[in-house]
Amino acid sequence: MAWVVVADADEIEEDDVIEVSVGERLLAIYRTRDGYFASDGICTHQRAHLAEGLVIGHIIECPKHQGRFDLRDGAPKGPPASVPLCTYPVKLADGRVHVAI
Amino acid sequence: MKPVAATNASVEKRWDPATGLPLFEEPDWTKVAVARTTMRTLQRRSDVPGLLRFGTYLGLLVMFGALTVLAHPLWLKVLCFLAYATVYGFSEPILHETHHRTPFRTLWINEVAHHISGLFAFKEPLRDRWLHAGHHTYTYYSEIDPEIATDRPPHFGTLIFDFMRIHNALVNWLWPTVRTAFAGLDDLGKRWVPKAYHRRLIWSARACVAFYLGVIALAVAIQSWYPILFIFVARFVGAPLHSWVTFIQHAGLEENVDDWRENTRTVYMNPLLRLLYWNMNYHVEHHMHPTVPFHSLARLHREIESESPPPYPNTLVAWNEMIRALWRQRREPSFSVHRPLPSPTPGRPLAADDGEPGVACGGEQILADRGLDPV
Repeated sequence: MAWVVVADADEIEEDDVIEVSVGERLLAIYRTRDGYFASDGICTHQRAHLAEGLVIGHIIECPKHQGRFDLRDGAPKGPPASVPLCTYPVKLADGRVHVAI
Repeated sequence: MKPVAATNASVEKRWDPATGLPLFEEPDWTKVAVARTTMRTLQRRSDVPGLLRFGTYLGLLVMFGALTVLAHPLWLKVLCFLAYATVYGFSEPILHETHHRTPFRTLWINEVAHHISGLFAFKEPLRDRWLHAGHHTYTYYSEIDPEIATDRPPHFGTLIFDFMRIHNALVNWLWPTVRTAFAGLDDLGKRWVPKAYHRRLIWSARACVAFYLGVIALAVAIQSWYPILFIFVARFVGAPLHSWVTFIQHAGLEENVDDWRENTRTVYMNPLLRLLYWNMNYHVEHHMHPTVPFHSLARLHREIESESPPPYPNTLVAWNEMIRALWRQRREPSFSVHRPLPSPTPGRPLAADDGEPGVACGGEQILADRGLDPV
């Protein structure tokens, strides 16, 4: 597991999400009032970029079918999401967001 | 109207017997890109517009219901009941919006409205939410879209019958609810709903059946036909106006194309219809960006209008086109109306739903490992 810089901390607004690519992997990086979180960038239900979805508290809502996941641990929280998302450890250092891949 | 080549034959009837899901590859839908900051504004959730709209719906039902009971002579009573039933028939757009969880920011309010509107529409709401997700994935793909409204060639008898929702409400919606309550999911339900959710769905169906039996019991207890009229008869008597605005969503347009601008209609409607229909007349917009709540669809329409076919000026124009197309399909099933797409604006690329499904982390096993209940 290696820490990778994925974004500047102020690049993401609170209650928002951006998409970054690390190698061939697409990640969604979230900022909530409780800090930064990271998950796979594509929904586990069907093909959709979660960064186009909506952050509501600790929920990321998929833009395609409005399936819901807890962005902290990837747990599905609303159909048609039923398979958990992969999530990744995140830390802030030097004003940048680091993700452990 | 120009005919387009038959595409039905290119779609094979392929379903995975293990999962029940289509083996047909998920279409790469074309979307008109909207600036990120604009989209964030359009997606914004609030309880206020939804509560106002849902409150108006319930208020109209109470008002016309009370007038029905109190009105005299009979012709006035009938008139009030027709008004009640017509409003009642618009439970379907409420159910639809709450499938998407867009009209309210607060989830429990959404789910309450979801279940109430499902009861009024004769649709068990959890099963219908899964089927509707299938409709968004495979919109107007023949043999796959679980909400496809017309066959090719179309059966006009069924269509006319269903103008009062007689076939759909009884055969496709109420009967599967009763069946699910007592004998488990029907084939369509099994096809679209993962097993982990079946138990919850069965209990939801049982609750629906209990509600309908309760209505009958109430009618018997108070020796009155009003509960039967308001809950059951109104479903059919009041359906035509809703059918008028909803039949034209896709019918007659091209099947098996991965662009909602070609298989979906946006139709301008008057404020009263938009009020009752929760702005679903902006139907291309809804399919393209379903996270946008009903109260922002008109603004979304203005955002993507330049990249979309011209909207229909009113329901009559859309009906005229649809009926002519369906009539022609009786003898020429491959016929479809072709919607003219504008030339793309330079510097504004159309975005496609690319990407592969995310890593499943071991899927259902992880659910169990984490001690998570099905949602």
